[in-house]
Amino acid sequence: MLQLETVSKTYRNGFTALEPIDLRIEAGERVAIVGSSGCGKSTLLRLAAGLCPPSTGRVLLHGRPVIKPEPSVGFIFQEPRLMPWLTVEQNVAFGLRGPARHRHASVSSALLRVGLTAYGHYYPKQLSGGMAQRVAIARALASAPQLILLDEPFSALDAIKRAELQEHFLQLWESEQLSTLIVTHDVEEAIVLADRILVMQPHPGRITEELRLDLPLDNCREAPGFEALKKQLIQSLRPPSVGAGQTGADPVPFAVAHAIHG
Amino acid sequence: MTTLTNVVTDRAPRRRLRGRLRAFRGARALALPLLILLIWQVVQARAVVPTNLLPTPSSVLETIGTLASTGELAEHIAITSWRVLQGFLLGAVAATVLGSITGVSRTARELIDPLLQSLRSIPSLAWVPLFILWLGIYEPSKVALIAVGAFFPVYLSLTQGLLDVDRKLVEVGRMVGFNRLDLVRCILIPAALPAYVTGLRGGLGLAWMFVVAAEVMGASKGLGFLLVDGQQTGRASLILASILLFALLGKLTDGLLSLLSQRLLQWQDSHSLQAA
Repeated sequence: MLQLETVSKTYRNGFTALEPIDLRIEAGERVAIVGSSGCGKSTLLRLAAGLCPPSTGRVLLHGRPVIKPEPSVGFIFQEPRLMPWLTVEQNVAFGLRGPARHRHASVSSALLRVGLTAYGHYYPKQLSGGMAQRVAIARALASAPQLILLDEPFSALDAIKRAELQEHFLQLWESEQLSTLIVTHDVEEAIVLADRILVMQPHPGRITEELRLDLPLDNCREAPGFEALKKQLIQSLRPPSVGAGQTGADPVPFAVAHAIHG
Repeated sequence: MTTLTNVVTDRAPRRRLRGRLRAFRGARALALPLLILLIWQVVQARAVVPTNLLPTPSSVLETIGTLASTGELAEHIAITSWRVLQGFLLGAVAATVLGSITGVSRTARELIDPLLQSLRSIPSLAWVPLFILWLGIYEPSKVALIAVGAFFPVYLSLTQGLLDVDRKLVEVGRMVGFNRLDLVRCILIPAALPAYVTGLRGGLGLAWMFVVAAEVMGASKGLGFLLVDGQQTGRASLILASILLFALLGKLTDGLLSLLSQRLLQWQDSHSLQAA
């Protein structure tokens, strides 16, 4: 579905944010990219969204090159980014096209899915952080995208709200079978939300490891192997010099891990 | 969640409370001026300062009353307000057009903005001789001067308001596939609206200042003319009457504009689904 072919990004000042990266996301797949701050993971996501052009390589959606943002791709930002002058309903309808009746139906069903039907006429300033982010999710869902890109979508929330929204998002994913690409620095979030995890290292940004997970969707935090997987991921996030002993890490029962770039 | 339920359940009492508070604040705004007038009246009734230099408030009111009874006052107010309105509209419209262009397009900004900024640093009264030379001593030169005064606050606020629009909101627009026009219409304009309204109010304030300058330069009617008339005939009460009327009219028109803009912003808000 989404394909990145030797995509790299070097800024005008000569800073290489991203080394050439190849990445393929199949329909219905949930992929997470984990990395510490400044490793280029957000850049990768912006390139995939068509928000900024890559320095080399190309981004393909269904085999067609992405030059500007595509309507079939939704983006959920780190912050809700709601228009303060629009109500919840109008924010969810933002950018929707087509006849008013269809738009109205899409908005209602999106609000229903995030459980905010009763708040359609509220303004963003009247919402809590978690609710505002749910509105942002509804806005991304309303356009019925095939692929959703998420940039640390729950990082601004407290731990309880975050876990709640993650659960919520999983339910949505189950019912919609969306393809998702999520970028996060939170190892746990990656394990909960993805079935494939890419580990990124900074200076320059590159993918150093790929894991396929096979954890159950429900209560995956309680699943055996979760803690071991978490430990392993944290280990792989460390800079290579520190994590030199990672070959000795415990085997992970539910994951097939293999290094891409050593 | 608690705040939300509060909003729902406490709406009516809170509104009532807010109304009462507002009325109280309004009364507070009047307290100090009234006190000053009272002291002034009491002191000047004993003519501490010669009353031909500092008349009592009551004689100022009397002057206004006399002017009003002959119908002269209405004429002065009408002509001055008309000049302000014309000049303000001319300046504000020009500023809106130029400000939105320079606020949205970088190229236009680089071309136009430096010139306008340098024009801004010209003392506005320096235009008077030129305007009189070009447009004559009657209405057009006065309106032009007021327009110059009203132009800059509106222009500056609008440009800045457009430039200050959050990049993050603009990105949301790009993500949903907006073109440039959609971005301007659905994100830039509503986001810059509060700044624009501030600019309009500033522009109207300056229009009232510039009408005085224009009328003092040469006019046979208007509140500014009353100032000159009062000076030349040695009637301080006439000068004070004119000043008082300027204060009242300025405050009144600003209040009107602010009320109107509230409506405008409210309309933006209630603009429902079809906006998107």
